[in-house]
This record gives sequence, structure tokens and C-alpha cells, in this order.
Amino acid sequence: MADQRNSAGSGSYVLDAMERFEREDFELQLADSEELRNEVTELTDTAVLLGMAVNPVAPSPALKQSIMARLSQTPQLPREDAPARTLRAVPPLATAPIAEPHPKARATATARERWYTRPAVAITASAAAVLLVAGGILGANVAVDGAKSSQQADALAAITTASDVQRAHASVSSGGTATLVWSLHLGKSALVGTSMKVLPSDKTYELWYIGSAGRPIPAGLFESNGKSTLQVLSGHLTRGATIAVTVEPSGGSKAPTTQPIVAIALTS
Amino acid sequence: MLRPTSSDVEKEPDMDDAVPVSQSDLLGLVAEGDRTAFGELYDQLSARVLGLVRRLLKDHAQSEEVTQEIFLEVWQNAQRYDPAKGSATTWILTMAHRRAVDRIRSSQSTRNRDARIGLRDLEVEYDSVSESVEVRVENDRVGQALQRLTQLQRQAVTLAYYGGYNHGEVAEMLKIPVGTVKTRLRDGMIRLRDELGVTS
Repeated sequence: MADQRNSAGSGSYVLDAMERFEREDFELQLADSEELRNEVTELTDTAVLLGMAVNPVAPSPALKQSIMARLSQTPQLPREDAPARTLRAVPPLATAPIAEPHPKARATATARERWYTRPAVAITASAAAVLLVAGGILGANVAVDGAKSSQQADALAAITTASDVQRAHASVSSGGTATLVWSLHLGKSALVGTSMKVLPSDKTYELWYIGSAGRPIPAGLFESNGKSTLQVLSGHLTRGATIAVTVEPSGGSKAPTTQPIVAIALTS
Repeated sequence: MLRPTSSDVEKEPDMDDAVPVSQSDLLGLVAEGDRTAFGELYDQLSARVLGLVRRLLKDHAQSEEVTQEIFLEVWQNAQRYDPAKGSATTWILTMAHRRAVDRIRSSQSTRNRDARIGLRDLEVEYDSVSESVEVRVENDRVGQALQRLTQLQRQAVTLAYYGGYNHGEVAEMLKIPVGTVKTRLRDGMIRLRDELGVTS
């Protein structure tokens, strides 16, 4: 039944005013209440009218060409048992593994597994499931090397499902972008890099915790394949810390030897 | 090994099909891998999608980028579209709003969220002259319906939908508790639904 507490979120939900974890929570309630689903359907249509009142803006002709040119590399996903609100549960766009953000979605391996397989990267089912969560949280797809993926994926899953999960996004001065996702409650964080430069074999990326006082503390090494990379930071995250990345000689350094190429300060 | 097969996405559009009229029909063809139908759907809806995304993101280049993501997502998920759950336009614009908001939140650290600017921005929205008659009518209708909300409801709904702010941010901007924002958003949307005559 749609009790008071449940239905109170319907306005926020259809206006996309919820954070992702609240949204997923709400979708679980949706799955259980037809009354709530009906309300959400009507309010979704109402929100679309708000959208229809906005002045259209013609895209540049190049945009259509660019989109049409990408269709051949964009596989169409098979029909599936729809979760309560299909249009709310669309997975992020796939240039990498596909995952379903809806926790109740039945990610039937057989139908989808073929899309998990990318050139040279086969991720395990559990990693894939987590990456969906990560993809949802980060608004991006993440591919991970097979070997370390499972452990990283477990750690990432813990962070992204923490009640106080937060994220911040920054560009990397040497190219690409970095998104940090963290939970102060768990004291853990993970960095997701996109399009970061491939380093020569004698160099590595190194993560650092930089506190208000004292020396930077090493938080792990990682490589980039030029596409996407995920690294859960070693050590413990504290409030007010800044996470930085430098390029170091392979094997890493005990203290940074170069300027950070990206630094993300934790907002509280 | 399993690998993506291209046969089902590479097939030629069926030129013998009658020209479909509705966007939902087009989407049905898109689900079968029909690129001509996809192009047609794009022609019909891309300006609406880009208009909405740009309203939220402001930056034109970034908005085109997000519009591209949205249409590729339409292509990718066309088989999952269920006409019983709403029109193709509803499906696509809902997805568009979600994607635009996701983009705002993922680059939150670089976005200056000034409450006063947010509110000042919104005041002029419905004074602007729209370009097409169709949009002007919709704009007027929605604008009038918005005027029938209480001021708090209107501000909350407008900040959330057109500003892309989450309810916590709206609460901060309006200096009211989050619980109150949730209630205002729901009451406001229900009022709008009734004013605009939306039924499922």
C-alpha cells in the first residue's frame, strides 16, 4: 500500500530530485504498490509537459551524423521482463559493459552476457553486477581488468551502496577525467578514470591522501588502458582529505615526485 | 566465446514498410534495428530533447553531447519501450531529463550553485517569447498552471525540474526542511496534473 511515507517521494522521484540511492529505494516501494505506480505514472506525464513547454533548440547537423555513425557500434538490448517502471530503469549507454541499475532487475546472464564481453576484457558476472551499480552512481561505464576486478568490485560495491556515498568529478590535467566515489562511514574511496593517458612502462599512476598537515600518504598504484580504469584506494579515508594522483616511476614512490595531475577535495 | 553479433543491428531498413505516423510506431521500428525510422524519430524529437537538456545544462556543446547519449540510449533500449506505459515522447523526454540531471550531478564540483542566481533565473522563464505556436501554447498552458500553485510549490517544482537541483538543495535554497520540500513537490505536481488534465 502507498502509505504516507512512501507516496511523499513521488514528486521528488518524477522530477529527478532524488539522489540515486533514494531513487532505488523508492523504486523498491514502487514495485510493491500499484497505487503508487499509478500516481507516479500520472506525475511522470505531468513532468513531461513541463519539458514540452521548453523552447526547442535545433541541434547542429553534425550531431545527427555523429549519432547515426555510432549505431553500428551500439548493440540493441534484448527485450526483458520489465521492472516496475521500465523507463526509469534504462541502463547507462553502452560503450562498455551493460548493467542494470535497478536492484530488482533480473540480469539474466544468458540474454546479456554477450554484451558484457568486450575486446580483451571479460568481466565476471559479479563484477558486472557491481559495475552496473557503479555505472549508475557514476553516470559512466567502467571496465576493469579481469584479475583484480573481483576484489575491486566488492570494495566498490560496498562504497556505492553505503548510505553516505558521495562523488566528485574533475578533469585530469594530462587528459581524461576522474571521478572519486567515497563513503566516509566506511572510510573507503575509489577512483574511476576515463580516457586517462596510457603511461610508458617505466611509469605508473599513484594515488595519495593529502591531509591538512603532514606528508601525503600513498594510496595505491594503477595503470590506465586509455579508456577506463577503476582503483579502490588502499588505506583509510578521513574527513576533509584531498585525493590526488601523480605520475611516478614504475613501482611507485613513498612521496610524490611530480605535481598532481588531478586533486579532488572531499566535500563534507 | 560470446561476442557481440552484428547481424541483427546491421540489417537494412525495410523500405517496403508504410510510413509510420506516430513516434511510438517509429520506436517500434527502431526496436527492430530500423535506422531510417531512428533518423526520422531523431528529426522529430531532437530539438525538444536538446531544448530541455540545454535548459538544464546551459552549455550548448555539453548539451549536444548529452543529447547524443540520450539518442544512443533510445536506440539501445528501443526493445524495452512499452507503449502501454506511455508515449514515445514521454519515454524519451523522461530519459532526457534524467540524463541531463545525471550530468549536472556528476560535474557538481565544478558547478556554482548559487541559490539567488538559481531563483532569479527562474523568474523570467515564462516571460520569454517562444518560437513556435505549438510551444507557445504549451508554454502558456504550463505557465498558467504553474501560476495556480502556491509560491513555495512553484519554486520547488521549478528549481527541481528546470534547475536540476535535488530536494536537499532545494531545501537549502528555500530555507525549508527537506521533508517539506518533498511534500511541496508532490502537492505541486498533483496540482499541476489536475490543472493540466493529465490522467493515466
